[in-house]
Amino acid sequence: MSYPQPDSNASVLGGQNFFRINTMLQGPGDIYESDQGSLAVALGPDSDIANVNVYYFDELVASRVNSLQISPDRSFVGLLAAHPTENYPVVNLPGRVLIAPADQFDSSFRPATFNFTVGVGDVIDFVTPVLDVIQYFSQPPSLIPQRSDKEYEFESIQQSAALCTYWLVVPAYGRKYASFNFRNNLNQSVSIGITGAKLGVSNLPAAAAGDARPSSAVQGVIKAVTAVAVNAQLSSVYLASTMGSWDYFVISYTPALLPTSNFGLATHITVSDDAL
Amino acid sequence: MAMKPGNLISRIASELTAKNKEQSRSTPTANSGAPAAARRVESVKQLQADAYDYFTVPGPTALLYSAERYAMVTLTLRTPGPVAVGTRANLTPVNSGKGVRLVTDEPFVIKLDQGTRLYVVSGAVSRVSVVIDLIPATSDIGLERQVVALLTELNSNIKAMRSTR
Repeated sequence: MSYPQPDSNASVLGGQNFFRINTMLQGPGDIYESDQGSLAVALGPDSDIANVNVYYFDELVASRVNSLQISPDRSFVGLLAAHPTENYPVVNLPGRVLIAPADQFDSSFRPATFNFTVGVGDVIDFVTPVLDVIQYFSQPPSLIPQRSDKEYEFESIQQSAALCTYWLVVPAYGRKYASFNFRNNLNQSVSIGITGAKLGVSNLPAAAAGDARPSSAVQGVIKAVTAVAVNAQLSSVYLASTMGSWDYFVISYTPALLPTSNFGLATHITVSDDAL
Repeated sequence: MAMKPGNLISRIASELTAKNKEQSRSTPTANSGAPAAARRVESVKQLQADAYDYFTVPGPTALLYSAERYAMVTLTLRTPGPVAVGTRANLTPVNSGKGVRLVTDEPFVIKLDQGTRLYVVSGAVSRVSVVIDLIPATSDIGLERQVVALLTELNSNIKAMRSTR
């Protein structure tokens, strides 16, 4: 989780009628806390994470802790009180509202065909997902839970050696539509492929030497690896209704040779909650 | 029998001053005492409404307002709370029912007698809008009623004098 955590009391003292957690995730197991209750909880416009768990102090259940999940299609409207002066049993921690992503994020994820060889192996970059959650302090007149569309622009690829693959991982959580456009302005052809990855838990031993952890994700092909000639374009459209729902879009770039310059391969990605 | 206007006005002045000892003591003279206009302003200030935001702190019951005069207090919770208010000195825990739970954005109005204290307890840092309207005391109202009665009597005397001419 990011430090310092945003202070919900500061929002009250500052006269805001909402408290917003808008932060990039640091790793799996991120959990955020709020001293304030709310009259509604909803995803914020900038969230990449689609499903968020909200835990709260509930005197009506034996464990004193109850939870609910919000998503782009379902906000929670109703009084949800925080009880920081009372403690959750057993752990003996204040009865704050706890907010954690239900979707998985793991920056140690590696695609199934990833080359781990140090020095000449593949390179991977992640677009860190954003968690954006809003607690409303007063009754909102209406809630629009839909997230904003997002656009990503990249102008370069990274390579450690000739023929190694550069992997780019973009958050896909719950998005219904995505558009991928590539233009090859390098001085050689590049093979580009897109897969979807759904993270899971693995009990298998490491698959290869140098493998920090075995690949436990389910992967599905969105666009088979295609050679893009010099000065040519490649476009692809993703629809969740036909291609399934994924945590990540994983894009692979394999140049024919080590590029003399890493700049010149343009990638433009648009993701949306609308099934356009 | 109709009273002469000059006698009647003297009676109004003497009764007004005699009924209120404090006012009688501060009646301005040629050499001392505050001007009457200034005293009126002071009197109005004492009855002026007050409005402010109160920020609660989670924990034990706290004093929100002590009514030195009759007052009508309007409280509006601006955040989710929970916040409870009441006239008992111990309202904890907040959901115990010893006080009234405030509902967000719904004004809660309570009339406080002179000398009554209003307490608050909360489970989270909360913002409460407080509006205090002071209500004139019975003695103030009695004085005003006297003035009205005497003026009415003066009016009827004048009419009676005119009719006898």
